[in-house]
Amino acid sequence: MIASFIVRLLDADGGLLAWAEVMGKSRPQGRPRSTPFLAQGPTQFVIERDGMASGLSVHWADLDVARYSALMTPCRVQVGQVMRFDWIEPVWMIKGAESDVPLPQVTVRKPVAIGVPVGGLGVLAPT
Amino acid sequence: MAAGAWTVYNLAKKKIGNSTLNLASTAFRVSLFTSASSGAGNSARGVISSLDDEIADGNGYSTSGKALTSEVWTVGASNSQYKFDASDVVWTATGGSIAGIKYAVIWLSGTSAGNRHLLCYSQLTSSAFTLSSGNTLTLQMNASGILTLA
Repeated sequence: MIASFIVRLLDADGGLLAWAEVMGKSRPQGRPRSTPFLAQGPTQFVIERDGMASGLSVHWADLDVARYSALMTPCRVQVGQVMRFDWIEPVWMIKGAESDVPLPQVTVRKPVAIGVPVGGLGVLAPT
Repeated sequence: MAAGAWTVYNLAKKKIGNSTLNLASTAFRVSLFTSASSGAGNSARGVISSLDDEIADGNGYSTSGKALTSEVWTVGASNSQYKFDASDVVWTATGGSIAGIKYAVIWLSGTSAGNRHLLCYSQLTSSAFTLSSGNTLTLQMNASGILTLA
């Protein structure tokens, strides 16, 4: 299954340096709810702030499952730079495994349309 | 960004029953709140003034909210259902960003703070976001409506 993941490039304090929407393959493993996140290719981050990149948070927003992954080698980045990141291994997403993954607010630079599901006034609310 | 379904505030159920909240009204508005808001996602709240941490005024967002248009209380998918529905709502960030968007709240406008009753809310995203200048945020109402009574 191909799904959209939000990947944030973070400094050691969990501050946002850059972010990207990444299409990845997930293979849900049943219970406990877990899946490896496999990016479809390299990810390009447009750096929004100077800093020392030290980790990534991968957020499957549709399910609100997130995982932090430290970079093997922290590196300095500068605003305006485009950083290419090659995924060499999957990131395991496990529901409830980590509750304190840094998910700083991102700035969206394109139109956003959010479809809100219908709510129910009665006991037979549609899903 | 997977949004949660519209959730009716507990007190709204009482107010619908005693006609304080008339779903046939055309005076509903929608406002946006940040992730810091302890009230927007609290189904026990009753009036809009009881909610904290609304999105800051300016850059295309008004703290008086945006009027819903084309509100209807009409038959739903079948004769056994009724639905409350309205047109999509669009904000455009102008002159700066609209920051911290997480919740949307629908409320009935009134002449005083005590008469501005909350109807329902949705958590639009699991992690708040900022809309940069020049871009639009569209709340797309479901084809089945905002709320249904089945």
